[in-house]
Amino acid sequence: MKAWLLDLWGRTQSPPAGSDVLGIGGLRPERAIQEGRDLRLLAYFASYAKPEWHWLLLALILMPLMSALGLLQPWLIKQAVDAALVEESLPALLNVVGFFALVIAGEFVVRFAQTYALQYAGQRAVARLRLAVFSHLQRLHVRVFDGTPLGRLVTRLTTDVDNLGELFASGAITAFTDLLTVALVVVFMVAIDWELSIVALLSLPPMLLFVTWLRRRARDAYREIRTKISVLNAHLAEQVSGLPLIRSLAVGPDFALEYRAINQDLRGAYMRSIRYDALLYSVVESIAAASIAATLAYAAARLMGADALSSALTVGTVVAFYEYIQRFFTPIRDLATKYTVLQSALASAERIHDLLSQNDLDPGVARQKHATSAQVGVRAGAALQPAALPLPAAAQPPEVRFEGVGFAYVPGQTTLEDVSFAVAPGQVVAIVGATGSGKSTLMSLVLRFFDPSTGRITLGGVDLGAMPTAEARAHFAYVPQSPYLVAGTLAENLALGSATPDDGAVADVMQRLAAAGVGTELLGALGDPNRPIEEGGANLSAGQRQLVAMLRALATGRPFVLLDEATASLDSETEAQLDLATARVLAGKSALIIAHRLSTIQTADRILVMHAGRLAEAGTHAELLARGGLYTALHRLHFQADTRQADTRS
Amino acid sequence: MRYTLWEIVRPYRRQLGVGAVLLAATNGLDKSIPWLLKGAIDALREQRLRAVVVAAAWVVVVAAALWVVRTASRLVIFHVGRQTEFDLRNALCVKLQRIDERFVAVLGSGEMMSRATSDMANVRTLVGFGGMNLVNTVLAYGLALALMFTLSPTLTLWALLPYPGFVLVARGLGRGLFKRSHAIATTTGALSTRLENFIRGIRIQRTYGLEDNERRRFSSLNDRLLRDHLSLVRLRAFLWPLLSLLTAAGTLLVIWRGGSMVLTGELTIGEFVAFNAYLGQLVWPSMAVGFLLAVLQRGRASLVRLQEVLLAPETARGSLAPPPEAGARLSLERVSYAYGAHQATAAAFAAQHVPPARATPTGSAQAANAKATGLSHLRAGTKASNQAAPESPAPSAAASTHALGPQVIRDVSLRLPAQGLVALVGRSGSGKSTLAKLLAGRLLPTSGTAVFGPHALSDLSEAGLAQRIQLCAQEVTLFSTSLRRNLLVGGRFDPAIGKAELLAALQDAGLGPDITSLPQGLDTLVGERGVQLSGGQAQRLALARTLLARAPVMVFDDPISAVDAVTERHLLGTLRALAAQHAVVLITHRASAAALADRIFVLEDGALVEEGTHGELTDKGGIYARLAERQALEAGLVLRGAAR
Repeated sequence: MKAWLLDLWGRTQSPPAGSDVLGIGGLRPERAIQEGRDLRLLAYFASYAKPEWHWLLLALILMPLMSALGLLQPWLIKQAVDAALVEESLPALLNVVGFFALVIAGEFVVRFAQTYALQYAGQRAVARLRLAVFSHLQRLHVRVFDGTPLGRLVTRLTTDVDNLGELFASGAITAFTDLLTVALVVVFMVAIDWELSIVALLSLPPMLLFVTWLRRRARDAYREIRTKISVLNAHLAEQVSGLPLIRSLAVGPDFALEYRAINQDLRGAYMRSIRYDALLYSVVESIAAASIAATLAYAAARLMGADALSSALTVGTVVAFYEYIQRFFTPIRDLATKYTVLQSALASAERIHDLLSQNDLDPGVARQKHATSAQVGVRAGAALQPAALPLPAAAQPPEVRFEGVGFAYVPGQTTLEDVSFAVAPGQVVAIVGATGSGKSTLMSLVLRFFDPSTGRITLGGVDLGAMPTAEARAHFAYVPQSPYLVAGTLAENLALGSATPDDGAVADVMQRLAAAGVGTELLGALGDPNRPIEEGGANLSAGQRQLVAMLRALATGRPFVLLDEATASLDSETEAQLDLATARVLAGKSALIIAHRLSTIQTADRILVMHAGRLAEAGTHAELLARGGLYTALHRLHFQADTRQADTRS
Repeated sequence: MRYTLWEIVRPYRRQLGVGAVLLAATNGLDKSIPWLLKGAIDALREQRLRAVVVAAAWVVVVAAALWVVRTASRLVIFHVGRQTEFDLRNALCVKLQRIDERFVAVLGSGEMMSRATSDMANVRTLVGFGGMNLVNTVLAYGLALALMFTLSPTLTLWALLPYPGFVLVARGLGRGLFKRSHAIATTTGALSTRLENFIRGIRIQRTYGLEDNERRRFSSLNDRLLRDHLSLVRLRAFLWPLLSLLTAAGTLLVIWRGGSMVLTGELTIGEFVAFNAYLGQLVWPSMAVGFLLAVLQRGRASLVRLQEVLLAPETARGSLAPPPEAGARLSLERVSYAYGAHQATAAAFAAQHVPPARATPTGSAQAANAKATGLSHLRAGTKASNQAAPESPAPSAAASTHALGPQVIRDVSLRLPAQGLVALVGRSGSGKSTLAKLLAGRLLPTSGTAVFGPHALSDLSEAGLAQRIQLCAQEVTLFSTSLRRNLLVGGRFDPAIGKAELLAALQDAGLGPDITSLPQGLDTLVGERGVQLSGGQAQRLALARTLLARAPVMVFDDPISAVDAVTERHLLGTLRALAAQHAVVLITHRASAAALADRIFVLEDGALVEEGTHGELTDKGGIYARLAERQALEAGLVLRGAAR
């Protein structure tokens, strides 16, 4: 009934398989399936385990020992049957029992050490990887964040990294060492009786063919699941983040219906994958049983045939073969389970790898050398002490000059065209214009989130592109429209997260705000400096969040202030208090201010009027009004209501 | 429905029954192989070779039958696992339609998603894999023991000697596994929330060079997660070898005692071998006990976290949804509101399901636990207060008042006209947005009543409410889909809404020119994957959405904060026109906008302090007059500048 809804969702939300990759709005085509790629991927991630090499080496050394100790047990049982029971010798039996006790005690110790070493190394490697991915995120260009759903990036560091960790936890990482066990079994079997070994393993080639075939089919099912699950989770994530809206429109049932349909799709894919799982397991078990039957039959046949050979074939041998055949097939049987884990880990590895090889870097780090994974410490300690305050900044405001700057977010769709202006030291310059006229883009360029496509921007006469980005950014105190707050105290947020919540830091922030000319009445409106703030400032109103963002920008003491509609949600009284404060704090500073309220910017030294990506007019308030152009028109519209209001009063 | 494990699988008890029968058949067939082996070995020893071949043929027959039965049993049981996952996912989505929105807000969307994904997977593993192995282990033990007992009761007792160890291990380590798994899930949730915020603040961090701070914050959580994982690793690394040792010890005893019995003639070699084989068949089920423990405890920990969401308090709504009464008015009667009204102090849920904090928790870990358990308290009512912590003597009363935050809205009474524009003015933090939510029925008063015509808002269903009152919230929600679909959400997907109507709404919201410039028009994708709308554009899209909803009462929370002057005038014109047929509430801090209203309410510290028309209020010389005067002064200054 809501099929058309689904269709919409399907077209927009269901990405083609393999499109779950980064890239601004770009859906990369499904890459050709390469078997070799899986191995290369694992090798790539192995580098994160490198610092744990001694643990891994230990695990590796213990591995054959563990296998051998396990495989000695059937041989000892053979000894018990042949030497003790058939020969009827009690001392020989006790001898075997003694050996057996030693072997199992040894196995316990080795197994514990091996498991622990492997998982310990694995978890540390995974934590290191998580930190490395995070560090990489810190270096990415802001457009990557703009173009990627937030939930997806979070998933890379949680679910995907956990999936890699599961490789160690489930022991799937040792799947290849199961080959060792299988090989050792063959060695033991051949050593006991090579003819019987051939008979026992006759079923191996057809079974391998079958397993390969199943594996291929299963892989397709898993790929389908992967795609479907990301669609499902994207849908739910939007429902969660849009909950208040969905609820107030009472459209929840429609969303639930859609979700159910996607969920049904996913269930279908899962059910297909179950078939392969079930089939693989049961086929291997049955073939193992058939192999046992074959050895029994062959043993009988051989005894029936030549008497000369019969001495070589003992009851103990048959018993040992029974055990060995089972130990041979068990790893193959468990392959299905391990393969599931491995597949999901590989899928995650691929996604993490895609993210890590995303080299659209922030200009601030683009030129720095890539930190290698090994440099990324895991332990909290010396390397991660609280960092120094993100200060000091240059004391004097530099001149900022745009020279014929052009810019396009998307090639072909010009956002800015031939913009030239300058902000002299100490000047306050305001930018006005309709939404979408390119005002915020100017700030993004100054802060080097983006670089101009044409023209250049200079800072104190130096080309912005030629100076270290961090150094350039250190001139600017930036207040965006939507503030960023972290969990902690109010004081911590005012100190931009650089202060620890002790009294000294609080006093320090207060002092710096006072030095910046901010009155205490504004701080009073926010409450106790030690009051807790939730992640994202959820327990503050929109206006309070903006106030915090404004105050902490001022507290940095940076000489060039960038305000991007920073007071939109403030009431006029608070705004007035801040305006006064701003006038004081702006003494000796430069400022670039975007505001919709023309009243807040009329005192600016210069006003830039942006229109459709071009600088339409520039001048002081009076100059622009005298000119009778765009600004005058804007101004008349803006203050008509206020005029009427003024008239009512008089 | 309490979403206990049993309730989750109950609809599939028949399938589970079939699965159990199939598993029993599998086990029966499986156990017949050593029995056949016994005959074959004894025959081999006695040179009755034909009997050996017959036995071998039987093994092949059994293997073929096993193939069919085993496949079927796994299919049936894994189906149930996926089916319950499907059901749980749907249940979660349905729950989302009723859940207390504040619960989700406090929980955070990252945490919510972490529960819907990782925890969901853990529960499914518990039901499918865990369920199958549980049944299988019981059956395998039962059958093998019975057969072993038939072979030799004495030897069976010897073989069972190490098994009390299993029980001890299971009891001792199970609790530890649960606690550690729960800690991991909690920390993962905290990490998700942190990451979300990190990404939101990326521009600020870049500007101020906060990379090291951010890294430190992330790193400390990452370290905590590593510690949680390693503490689980220690337990797991010990568990498996121990179980393996206990199993091998059984074999050791059988070789020793069984071997002696063969020597004394109490047992044939074939019986000895078969006995050993049965013991061997117990190796996997015994090891599975260890695996089961891990899966079970992890699944339980995750189930608790899912239950917290599935059983979270729901917005107390009625079920009434009659068509809106013509000419009915919305009014608030002595309404007060304090956040946290649902937070009972009792540690009810957590105390019941979540074990106390780990033995050596660090400060930050404790804080996170506190947050996690704090959430568990966000559950309604009587159950929570009944199990209140001992320090609260009169549980229910004390608990509910104690947990309330300060009153944000205090004793507000106001009556909206059936038609007309009403402005709500006040400083930041004066409670405007909270009052807007109370007016729209999104929040229900802590005390007092909110009534629309004959109905209290609390008696109306979600749909009934949506038909009467619409809120255009300050925070804009965009879905990553087409513009059209984003708009249609507002019309509740009414198929009668045509393109012309959509375009008209966009026009009224001042988005007309913006849309015509888009290459694909209404089908343009917006949001994270599509066109990036500016803050002002998004705000206007939200406004168009509300216009499409066409409710008798429409509340607009600061719709003009991010738009330029031209658009502002256009929007105010739209609202004015809308007010001819609807009750329109405009929340603003601009006197120039409020001046257009038929009536103005001034909010200060959560209380209504002034009320009247623009003229009345400016004459009165109160808060509003001061506000208007300041803004008029600004305007006047500018005008003088213009005149010069």
